[in-house]
Amino acid sequence: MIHMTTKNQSQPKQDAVPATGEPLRLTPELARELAREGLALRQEIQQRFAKMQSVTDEDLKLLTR
Amino acid sequence: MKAVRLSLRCVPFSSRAFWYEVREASGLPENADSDQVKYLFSYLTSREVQARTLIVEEPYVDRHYLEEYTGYYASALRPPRSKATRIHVLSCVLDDAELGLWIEETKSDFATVQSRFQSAYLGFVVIRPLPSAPIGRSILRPYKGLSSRCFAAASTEYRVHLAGFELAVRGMPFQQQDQAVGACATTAIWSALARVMRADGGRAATPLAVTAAATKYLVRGRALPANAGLDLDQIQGAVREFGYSPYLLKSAGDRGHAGFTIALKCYLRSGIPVILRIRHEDENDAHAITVVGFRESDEEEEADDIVLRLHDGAYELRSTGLSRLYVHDDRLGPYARAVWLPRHSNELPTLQLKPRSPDLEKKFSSKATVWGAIVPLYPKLRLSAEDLIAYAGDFLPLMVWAVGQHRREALKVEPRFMHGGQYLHDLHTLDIASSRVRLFVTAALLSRYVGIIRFCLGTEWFADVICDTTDIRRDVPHAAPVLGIIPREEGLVEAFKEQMAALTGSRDVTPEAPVIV
Repeated sequence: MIHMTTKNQSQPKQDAVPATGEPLRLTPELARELAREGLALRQEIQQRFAKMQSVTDEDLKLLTR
Repeated sequence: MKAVRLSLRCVPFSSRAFWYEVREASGLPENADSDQVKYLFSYLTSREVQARTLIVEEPYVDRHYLEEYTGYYASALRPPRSKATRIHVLSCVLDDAELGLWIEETKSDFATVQSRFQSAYLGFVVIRPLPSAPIGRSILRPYKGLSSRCFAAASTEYRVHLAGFELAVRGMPFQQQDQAVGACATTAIWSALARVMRADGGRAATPLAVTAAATKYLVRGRALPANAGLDLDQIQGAVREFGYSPYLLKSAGDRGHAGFTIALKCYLRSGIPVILRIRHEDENDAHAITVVGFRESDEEEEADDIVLRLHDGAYELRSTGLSRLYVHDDRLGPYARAVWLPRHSNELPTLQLKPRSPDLEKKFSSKATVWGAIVPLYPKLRLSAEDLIAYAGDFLPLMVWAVGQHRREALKVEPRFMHGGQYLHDLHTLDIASSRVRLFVTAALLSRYVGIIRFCLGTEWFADVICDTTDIRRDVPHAAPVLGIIPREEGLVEAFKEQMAALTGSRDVTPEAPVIV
């Protein structure tokens, strides 16, 4: 086990380097924390894409010839 | 009625010969130029294509041109011929005498001659007897030779019958716009639909049928001649009319560009072409092109990773950068190279075509703003590329934890959609123990198309998260619709199970639980 931070991350977090054949232990607490972070990342991505979905009048009128 | 004989002629490939055959077949005058013919010659002479011989087949009945003829030209006072000419392209030197010998040789060894013919076959170009728009349906093999290129959207196999041989060519149809029966968007839709309809076992739509579909409910000006152009509703209507679901992907400036590019790449890697609405800087109206492939960053052509910066930079969702897009542009030709241009913040992304021929490069060098994309989707493919990218966010912290600090920068996400059966087939060649393959293929119930969130370390596969695509993204339950997870390292299986338990709040092993092997 080594300590790492994700890019610019303030909270150090344990990470795992896959060791051949050795199961990697992810504690339920850490799993929940990673899941929470994952959910927040997903919501952020969704919000960015949502902004890209609004069709304007200009979009509708633009003719392709 | 009088019988007409077929003419098959072998012609050594050269600029002069190519132009001569096009002019003869189309009636294109000596003093008239054609960018598409110029481009095709340049494409066929490129290092990776290297045409050597043309076989001119005349007359040729082309269903797509024939519909244009019956729907429009037949009622003209001075109609063109109803039949076209097909020019086959070969990478070997062959003359009439040798072709004759090949045909006679089949009596003793058909398979060898067929294989020899096949290995040299590069595709065909249909020449319509229309001087203003000679290039008809053309199917040519895309560039090959580099693993960094992806032409999944141009991989439909076409069977070509020539002198009793059945030859195959993989590609995507291209043709020049004929304003009488179609706008540029018609041609772009036609190319894209040809791919998806054939991939689903159907017959490709003709340009005339696309025009009729686009103008069925909403007509601007006259439907035929089709020089009024098509708006967004008409483009979407045409796609819908053939049973496909038009998915609109808007381009965005600033931070949205990374998401747009990853989504574009996702569809292309999935074998789904993307119609781009672009606007050249010197034009009022828009133009439509079909993106058929891309080239990822490699040693010869480097490109920066596509990076979605999240949580103010705490996380990065990375995908390998694209050095080129390959597009079918009816004003230019098939598999035309295009590059993204650097942008200022919040500007819409811009593309520039990069044809090989210097005079074409000069003529087609104007910047084109990308307004958005239309993707013809199989109707049951309800999960979008954006959904898949967003679900990648769910697993990103776990992946970062799993790969370790020293490999974090190399972690890439390459989402794609695949036929479920194809995914199971490909699983047999993945670098995992056969016992794990057995566990997965005998337990995982997949949708017809699955969404694969593929995590890689550099170019090496690291893990797949397999998602159901038959439902939209839901807020409740919030967990991704995961059907299975396969990490390369078996040691990660338990960690994934723990993560899924945390995401779903359930440790139950039920028939609905994802198969994690």
